[in-house]
Amino acid sequence: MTDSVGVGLAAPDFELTDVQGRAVRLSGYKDQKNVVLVFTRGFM
Amino acid sequence: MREDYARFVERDAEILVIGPEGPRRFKQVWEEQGYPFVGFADYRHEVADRYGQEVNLLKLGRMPAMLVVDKRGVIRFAHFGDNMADIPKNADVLALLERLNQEMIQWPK
Repeated sequence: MTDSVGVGLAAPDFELTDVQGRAVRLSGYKDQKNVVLVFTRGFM
Repeated sequence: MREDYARFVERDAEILVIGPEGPRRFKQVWEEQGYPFVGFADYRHEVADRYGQEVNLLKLGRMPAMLVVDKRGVIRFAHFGDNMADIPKNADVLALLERLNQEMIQWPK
């Protein structure tokens, strides 16, 4: 965990391209949905 | 999480999965597995590093991490695993989502 990431703090925004090729921003879910962010170890 | 995906959707949640692979490899596995989530190849590890996903060289790689962000954009749960299998139980995360939705009804702003 970094200093800017913790319970009670605003989630740092980011934009990534998903597997469908769509640009997705975390902040796009604000007021719409809860988000479960899962960081994987990677596919084996 | 795949078996419980509908239960996450019912609780107004989207699951974003961020993996360290390159886009081609990530997409290939994603499509083979038919995952219903939103998936991202974070091959430069920019988001993983920003969120502090642990890298354990002795255990040959990145450790799993999970965070729950509410509709206000606030982190309400953060779990940084210290081994491959150290992942929160779906039931616990689903219960948290129910509480968050209840809060939004009780305290909309």
